[in-house]
Amino acid sequence: MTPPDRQPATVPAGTPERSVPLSRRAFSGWLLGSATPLVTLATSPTVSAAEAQVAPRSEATVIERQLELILQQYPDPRLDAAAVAEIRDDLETQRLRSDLLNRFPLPNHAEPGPIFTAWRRAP
Amino acid sequence: MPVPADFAFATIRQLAQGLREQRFTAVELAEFFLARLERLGPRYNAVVTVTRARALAEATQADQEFKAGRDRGLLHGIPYGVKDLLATRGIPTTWGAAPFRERIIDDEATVITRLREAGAVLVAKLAMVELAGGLGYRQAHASFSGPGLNPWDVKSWSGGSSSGSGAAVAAGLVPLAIGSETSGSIVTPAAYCGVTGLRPTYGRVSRHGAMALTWSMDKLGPLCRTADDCGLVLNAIAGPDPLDDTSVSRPFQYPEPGAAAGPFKLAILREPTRKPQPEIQQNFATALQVLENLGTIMEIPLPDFPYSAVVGTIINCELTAAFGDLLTTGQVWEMTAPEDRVGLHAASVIPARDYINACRIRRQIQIAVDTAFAGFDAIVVPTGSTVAPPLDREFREYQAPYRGTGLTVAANAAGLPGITLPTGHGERGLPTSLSLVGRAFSENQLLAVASAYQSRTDWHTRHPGE
Repeated sequence: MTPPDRQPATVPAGTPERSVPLSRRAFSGWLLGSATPLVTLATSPTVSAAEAQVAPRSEATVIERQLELILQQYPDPRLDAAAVAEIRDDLETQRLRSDLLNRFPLPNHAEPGPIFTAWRRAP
Repeated sequence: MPVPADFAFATIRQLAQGLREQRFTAVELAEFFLARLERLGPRYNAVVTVTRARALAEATQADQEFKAGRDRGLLHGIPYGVKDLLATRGIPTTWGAAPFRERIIDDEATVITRLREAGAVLVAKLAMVELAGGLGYRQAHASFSGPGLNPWDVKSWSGGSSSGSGAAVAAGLVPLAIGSETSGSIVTPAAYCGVTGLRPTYGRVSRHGAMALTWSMDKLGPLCRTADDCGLVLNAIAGPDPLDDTSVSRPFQYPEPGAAAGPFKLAILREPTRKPQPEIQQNFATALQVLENLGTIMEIPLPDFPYSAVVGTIINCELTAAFGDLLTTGQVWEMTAPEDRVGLHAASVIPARDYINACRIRRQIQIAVDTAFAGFDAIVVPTGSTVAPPLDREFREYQAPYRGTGLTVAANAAGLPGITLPTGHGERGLPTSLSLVGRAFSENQLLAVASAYQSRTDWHTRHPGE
């Protein structure tokens, strides 16, 4: 795959207007035109630099817990500070993606495309 | 007879005519491209394996069949290369990644089987970004075979993840190549290298024998000199395959040239606030003047969806399932790009709800985009926001001042076909391009518009010097 090009903001119509908190690192990434925090573009016009300085405690805690879990599950001496910082960045990006996905208004009956069908070997 | 040097940049029809007029044999044609691959391939880091023995065997068989009066069609005796994520018996299939550089898969990809049955001659397995870029690479040095170098300027990237496919066609090392696209991997190297690249509709071409990056998004398609060449190749490789449940039964038949010459109904997207590089904008405006003579052009909005969040989540979840063993075995640390060595960790904790919701939103995207594109033969956009980045710059840093339309991500989210065509040259003399995107299974409409454009321009006939 190609690293994503910069894209315009894409928030679905009807999505409540509110700022998605950005970590300092993610916001810096956005300012640099980062490919990974693309999702931040969706809300960047409403995010002030001050808001971007600190992620809310609950989000930061979730990310730290996820990081602990990863380090526990895949321990490796090569996971130095730089590597851990990369993983934390990825987790922050995922949190933003997750927020966008979960804010999208989906009715109960909205199903994904066919991901499973009955199967029987051809005679 | 030796193959004339300018046939390095000939179309499939020109090569086929040369074979049938006995200007050269299939073996001579294979030798011609094998020599170019061996001489020039290393210059662009474009080749992983030159398949000399197999190529000469297939070319010899083609010559014998021609002599016996058996003609398999226009691809008969035509050399080609494949991105090194397609399985080939007896030949390594490396996926561009160091842990697999010696690995041989005891299987043959359906695409290769179909090209073999069409009489085409496999001459090379071409370089690619490791694991097709799924691990989140941010710069060109992300393959064990070295960074893909652009034949127009070797200090620039050839694009990814089908790096070698784009560079090899541009440099005249092969007349055509097969690439793969999950989100941009055919159209980007085609755009950066100034060749024509076709991303088929999801399911149009069997994925059997191809490395799975994201099962629900991976597509295989051709990179060629012209739209017509892409149509000829798609004709050979499209169609249902019992070995791939997601391949569709809908038939595909590429028509004879000139079957649909317009007028075409085209659309452009409302422009974003920030725009592509100036040369890309200028060349796109010139291209639109050509397209205006082929039909009507309207302006439409791209339906508003969190495309990147949907695509990013689906790719991360599926690739973590596909490559999770690299984490547990520690092989992920053998990746070339430092950022790729930690590209799987965070994805391993994405909640299932996010993946399912991304799939649910994807369905809404398909419905909304199909509705928006109905009534148009193609949506026309500049392919990307910049020309190929320099080798020594991170992509995001180089691309930061510019912004594209986002249609490539949206089209991949919806599984839609697209074709990329050269439109001129920009910064550092590198190619610029446009993309045509259409509704699902509209490849023939896209090919018709693209061929009409290429019949009125000559950008696709230009090639870099050696």
